[in-house]
Amino acid sequence: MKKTLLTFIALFSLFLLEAQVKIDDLKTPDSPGFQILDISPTSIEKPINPQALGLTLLSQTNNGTGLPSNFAMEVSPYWYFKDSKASIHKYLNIRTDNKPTATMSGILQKLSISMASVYSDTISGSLQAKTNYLSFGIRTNLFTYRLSKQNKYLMGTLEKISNKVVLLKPKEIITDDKESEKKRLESENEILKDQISISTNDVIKKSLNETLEKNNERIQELNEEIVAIEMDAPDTYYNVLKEDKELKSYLKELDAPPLIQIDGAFAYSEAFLNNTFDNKRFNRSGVWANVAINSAGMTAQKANYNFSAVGLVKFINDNVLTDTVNNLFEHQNALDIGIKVDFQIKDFSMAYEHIHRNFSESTGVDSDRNVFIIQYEITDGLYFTGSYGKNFGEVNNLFTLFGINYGFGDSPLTVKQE
Amino acid sequence: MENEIYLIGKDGKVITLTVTVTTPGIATTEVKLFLSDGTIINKGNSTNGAGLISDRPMDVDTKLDNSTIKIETIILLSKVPESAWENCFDNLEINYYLDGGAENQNIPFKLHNNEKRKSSNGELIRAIKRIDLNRM
Repeated sequence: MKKTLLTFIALFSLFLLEAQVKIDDLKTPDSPGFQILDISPTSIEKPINPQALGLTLLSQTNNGTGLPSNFAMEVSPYWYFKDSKASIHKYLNIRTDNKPTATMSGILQKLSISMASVYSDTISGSLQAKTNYLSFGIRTNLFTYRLSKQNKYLMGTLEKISNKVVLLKPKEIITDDKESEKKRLESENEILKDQISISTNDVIKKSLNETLEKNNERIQELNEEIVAIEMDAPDTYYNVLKEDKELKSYLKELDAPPLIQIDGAFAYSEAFLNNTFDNKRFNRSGVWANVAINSAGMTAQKANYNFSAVGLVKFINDNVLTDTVNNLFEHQNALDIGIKVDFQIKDFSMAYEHIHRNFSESTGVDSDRNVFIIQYEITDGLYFTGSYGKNFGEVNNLFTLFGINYGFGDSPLTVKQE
Repeated sequence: MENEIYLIGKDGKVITLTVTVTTPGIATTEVKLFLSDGTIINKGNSTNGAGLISDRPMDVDTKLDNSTIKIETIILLSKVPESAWENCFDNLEINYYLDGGAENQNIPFKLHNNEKRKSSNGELIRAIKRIDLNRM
């Protein structure tokens, strides 16, 4: 186990060295790696665009390993490869020809791979006491359907954004006058060169040469001024754009969810009793699909609220503890059927999810998970997330999880190695 | 800051410009024409979010000798995960196609690394390409 952990730590450290982990990369633990262990805030997740590299911390404690004992890491390979057909339309599944979107093209684009590590010191839900769980998961968007009227509306929004970007260009970064003067001087120089080459009068020739030299000096000055302005221009431009409320509102319109989204996921986990490698056993694997239907997807205008219903079908191959005296486990199949209803008004959303787990063998105990979830955007980019309810199983099944999630932000968070 | 050079004739052909941008960000492309006497002609901007300029006429070649086309593309990565902004900057590709000039020229012109810059946090990318139109 120690060797496995060390390898895991080494791989994880490499990731941290490669990319400085930022606060906005930390997100609520909803990756398949956590979901397969029934410890994520929600087991029925609405489809999202995955992060290039996401790191989840369930707790910041560690056991001298330098790593939190409960964490998940999620990587989306798409962002590490060059997509020769990348466009905002492809990325947001918007069709430009006034037809409805019905696409499966997001499978590779939205594929994410996750790993999770969880330590349980007591029996909790399906987790056994004093056991480490390592899990691996993948998920992706399988299908998206957008109505043509919503595509048309979003194309209109993109047009408004483009025109706004041009309109808001700060005067101090516009170099048109300098470039115009430069162009005029360059053209004048071409004429001067012709005149010098045919001139036989030394006095005129000298005067023409002086003008040519003067022009060249001015062109050089203008070049330097243009380069200096262009150097700082992206920051100046960005600061103006980010302060514009109208542009911000247009950008938010692009978050309008499609009418139907189907996501698929697979996860596999192993358990290590007493932190010992020799005690390794298969824990659970599962394959599942989420089908989301969004009311905002039916409108062709800006929606301040969205009601969504997400259905879940999950096939699980579980290793259930059947003999507590001899600590014997037995492979059993289970089927999860669930639904989540989610209502979002501007920055606040509340959701309720219900999942019924039905074991195929009579020795398995069927159970339900009922959880309330709330999320609130406290300020721009700062989210409060909370879950409360009953998890699967009959022992220690109270489920609560509260946390702050930084959605966007500039402050880097350095994860210190012990 | 070396400009690309596109060779044009003098037989009254219309010179057209097409710009394609490869990025998952929201791209806006703006085109300006600087004539030899310093006159600036605004050739408009893209409005489709992808920065696409399609077969936009500049003018007839007889009026374009010694002029420069300036193509500025702004890319906003606000909808892309922040952890991917750096890769989006590295992988940005812009192709500039000119038509109506001399045959067998090296088209499309590509965006070079020194022609793109980004804001400190990487959310905004600004790319500028300048192409001189010279008579062959």
